[in-house]
Amino acid sequence: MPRKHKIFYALAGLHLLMVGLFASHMGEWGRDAPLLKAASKIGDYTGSNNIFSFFAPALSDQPYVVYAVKDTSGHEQLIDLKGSSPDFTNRINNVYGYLTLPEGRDVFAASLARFVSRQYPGADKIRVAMVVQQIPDMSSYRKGERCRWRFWFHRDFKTSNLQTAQHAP
Amino acid sequence: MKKISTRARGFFTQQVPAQTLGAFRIATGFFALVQLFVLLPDWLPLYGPQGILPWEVSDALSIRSTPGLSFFAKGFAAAGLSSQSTVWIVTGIYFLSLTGLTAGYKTRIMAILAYLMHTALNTTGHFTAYGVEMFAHIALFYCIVLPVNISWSVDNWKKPVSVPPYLVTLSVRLIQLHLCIMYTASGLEKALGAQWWNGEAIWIAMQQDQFHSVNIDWMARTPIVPKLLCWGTLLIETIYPVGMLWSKTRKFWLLGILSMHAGIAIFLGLPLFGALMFLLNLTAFGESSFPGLFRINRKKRFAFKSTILHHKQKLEPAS
Repeated sequence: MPRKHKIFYALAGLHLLMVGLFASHMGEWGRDAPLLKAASKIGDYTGSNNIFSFFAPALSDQPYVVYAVKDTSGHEQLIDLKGSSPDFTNRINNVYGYLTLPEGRDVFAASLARFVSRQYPGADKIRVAMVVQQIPDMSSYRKGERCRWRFWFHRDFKTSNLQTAQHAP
Repeated sequence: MKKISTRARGFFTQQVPAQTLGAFRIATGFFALVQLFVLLPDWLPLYGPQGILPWEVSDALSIRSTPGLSFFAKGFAAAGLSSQSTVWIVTGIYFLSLTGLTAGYKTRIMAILAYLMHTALNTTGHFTAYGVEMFAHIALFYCIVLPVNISWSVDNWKKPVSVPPYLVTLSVRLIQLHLCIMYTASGLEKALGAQWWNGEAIWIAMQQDQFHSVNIDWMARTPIVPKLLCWGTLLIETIYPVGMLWSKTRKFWLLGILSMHAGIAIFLGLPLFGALMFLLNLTAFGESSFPGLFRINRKKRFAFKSTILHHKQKLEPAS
């Protein structure tokens, strides 16, 4: 086999080895290891550093966010962020998923509030409220239990503060 | 042992039709174009500097090393262009490069441009991205490094592209093995959860408001149905390499996985994800499962035309 062929086979083998190792959660084995960091950076470009845990190992309750917008005259309305494309819901639900992490809650809630404030320029206050859809298991469903929405948390923002935060260093 | 070694060698040396790579390129480019048009009405909320997550936030929280839109915006700012203009310039280049890639015109350059623009868009929008972007990124990367212009391309039409057969085989095997690793990992991860053994995973997924597109309340009374669907998913994903690489099961496995992705597209409200996975599986394993699927050569086309003509003549009354 010519050397060039061997190189191509070796590169393909190495790429697949990385795909396999990262799929086995290699990224979590030792986050600070320099070799791992380098492999992960290469993987960012080659698509070899992914884990494939779609709907796995289990599905959890689904978070959702509603917005209460109050204008300067005290008029309040409830907003449900809907996009124009059918895939928008799937994408915004990803962002809502990050609100379940306590460490990311403030920054994600503020970003969402700021986005809503741009859609409603007359808004004075915005409440970002997260609710979670709890789905009963099949046995409980047979006994009469039904899906319900449970309030999780809320954050209030004054739109003037959101504008200030935007320009803060 | 010798038999295994001979089979493994055969797997990497056996000639594979070049059309597989052409089909893979067209599927990737065409899918990305469709996705672009589907998302276009929400482009700025998803990728704009003042979108759902402003650039400052997505840049600050990003752990990826790939360049985002703000990287390009800094460059364009020197020319007096705004951040929003950067989004539209990147989008324009993305559209043109995808069109070129799909047609197979200056394929490698187009693939590099499409890959870079897709990477920039999804580095910025990675908090809104999901599995579909991961696979689009992988597919576009393969369009750069693999000889995907070898068939059904303007490049090949203008001047025949010469690629040694071993490289075509290696390229196809690379895509196939990537899919094998992905499905096995995905199946094993699912198998770790009790919900995939007792059928609750399908029940919960289809009851979730996000994915709820059909009424499945009846499933609670017949739990064997979601249980069988879950077990089927575990089986088809976990031993995907065996099912796909063994000639006796390949056809059925491909039909099974295609049905699964069609189901995801229709019943879970994930048409883009379902469509991309459907196309990737079809292009990677379609030809080996159904020989001749991608080999639409002149002879066949001529034969097809002749058959139509023959039927037409039979149908038309004699004058």
